[in-house]
Amino acid sequence: MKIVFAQLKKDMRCQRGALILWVICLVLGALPYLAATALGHSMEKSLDMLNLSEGQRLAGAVSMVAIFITCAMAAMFGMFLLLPILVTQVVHEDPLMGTTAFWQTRPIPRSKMLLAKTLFIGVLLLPLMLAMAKGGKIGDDQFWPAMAAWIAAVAALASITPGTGAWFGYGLAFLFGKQIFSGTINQIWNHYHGPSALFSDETLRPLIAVGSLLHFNASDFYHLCYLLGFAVVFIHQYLTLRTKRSLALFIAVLAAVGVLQMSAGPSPDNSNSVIRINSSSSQTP
Amino acid sequence: MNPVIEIQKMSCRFGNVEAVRNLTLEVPVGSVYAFLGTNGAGKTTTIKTLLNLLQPSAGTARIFGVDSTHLGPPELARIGYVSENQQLPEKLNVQQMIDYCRALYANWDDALCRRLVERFALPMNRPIRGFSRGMKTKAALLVSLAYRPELLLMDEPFAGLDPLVRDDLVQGMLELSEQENWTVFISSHDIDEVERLADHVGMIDNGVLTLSESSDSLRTRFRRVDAIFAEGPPPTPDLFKDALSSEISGLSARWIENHYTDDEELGARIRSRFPNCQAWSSSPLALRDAFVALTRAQRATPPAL
Repeated sequence: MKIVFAQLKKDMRCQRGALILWVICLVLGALPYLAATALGHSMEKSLDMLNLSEGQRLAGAVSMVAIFITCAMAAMFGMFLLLPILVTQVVHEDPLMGTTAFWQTRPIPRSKMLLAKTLFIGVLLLPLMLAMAKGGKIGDDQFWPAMAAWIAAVAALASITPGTGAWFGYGLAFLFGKQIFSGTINQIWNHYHGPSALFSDETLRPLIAVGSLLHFNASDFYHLCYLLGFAVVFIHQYLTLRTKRSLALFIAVLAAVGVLQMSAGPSPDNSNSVIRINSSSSQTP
Repeated sequence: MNPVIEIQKMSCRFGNVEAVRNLTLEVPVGSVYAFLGTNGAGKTTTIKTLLNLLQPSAGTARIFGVDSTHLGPPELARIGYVSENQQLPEKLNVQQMIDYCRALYANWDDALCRRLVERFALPMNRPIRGFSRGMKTKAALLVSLAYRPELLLMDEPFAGLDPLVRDDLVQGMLELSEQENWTVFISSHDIDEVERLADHVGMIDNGVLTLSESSDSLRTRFRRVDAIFAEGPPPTPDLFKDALSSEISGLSARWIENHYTDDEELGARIRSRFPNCQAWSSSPLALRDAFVALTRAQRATPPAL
């Protein structure tokens, strides 16, 4: 573990600037909730005691809204921009491709490097997980699985690209590629079979049963598939350093989950239609 | 004693380009091996293959008896590596890099590290990314020597450095010279710098090893010969076909002998080949001249079909 902690410490030192910004964003993002929790109903009473005019109350409310919006923006910035940047940078800090990486000529086992990087990403995700657990939201909405899948995608893509430019380029290519692939498959399927399900309810029954047990909806399920798939890519790349194979795996994950997403055929409600995990198995598309 | 580095018929191919061809060499324990070659000769590819950063397309490379493709942390803990194109963790400062590397090596020597820091006069609290090329090389050497590696691999460490920095680097390397069985493999095209360090020399050109032997043998074997001939038919170039290089000017000639043993034997050869030779003298050849002559001779030889 000595090597893992040394690596973790080094990564934190290297990303110090971005980490400080991330913490500031987190604190700003948490402020409205903390304030609301701390004040609770006593806020109204306190305001009454001040005998404020209507105009003053309105100005105060507008100010509060402005502050809340600023905090929310900071939180969004931290979550959706800074977090992926941090994850990408920490992976690229010790490149997994090329022949110039410092760590590859040092006695650092690949598994320990993987563990150190995973811990770093885990530390980044921890405040989010804690906040959502506190709010009782894990499993209740689609945010946590989506966020986890997004970060896994970012990390997996970073592990198979040499730098930020390539990461961004590959990311865009995969995004468009996936849309084109999904659209093409969908068209072909519809052409031959009409708008019916790719997999029968019978095939999907085990998944539906598991989903019902875990209170997952279809969207959660896909996000978990992506999460697992990208985690496999990330682990594979760290343990083998075989970039071409990892790239193929990445594309396979995108394609496989893409096909799975289309498996139940079209439906008026897209968000929960694709696999009816949360619904009864007798429901038809 | 087994050689530290053992390369057998190793080739490295990148698409249509064969960077290293059928390379066979051995580096004995305790030697300082200078691996010389022009730019693009295959030196860096060889070192990267030794470190498992590249895989050979044919043949094998072994370090400490372990196949390079199976090189792992136990072997890497015994190897120091300094390269002009290695990416150091540049966001760290020297102190932080030392802290990081110390945790990686069980036999990290703090006293030696302090001595090296003093010798290299590196600023401890400035990020490495702001360092000059020389300072970066010193920092890399610092964290490659402080754990007393059994083998130090250096890829063009002196490239683009001023004489003072070069001297600092050499002095830093000499800090470990008292250590028993310490082996250094240093690739360079800066022959003057490595000549004073090396006790074994290998030369590579266009991916082909043209020479690999001890410096003493090399100094003995290569000789520059000057000869003056009496009136008569001047010597023709075909008479020097065994020599590495030759210049004929009127009645005098100069060539490089690469099979010199002693003056008596050389004199006998000259007399039999040039009966009208009036006088001749031989002088030792600098490593640089031997390198240039060998490389030119190699390039003049048509490739085998």
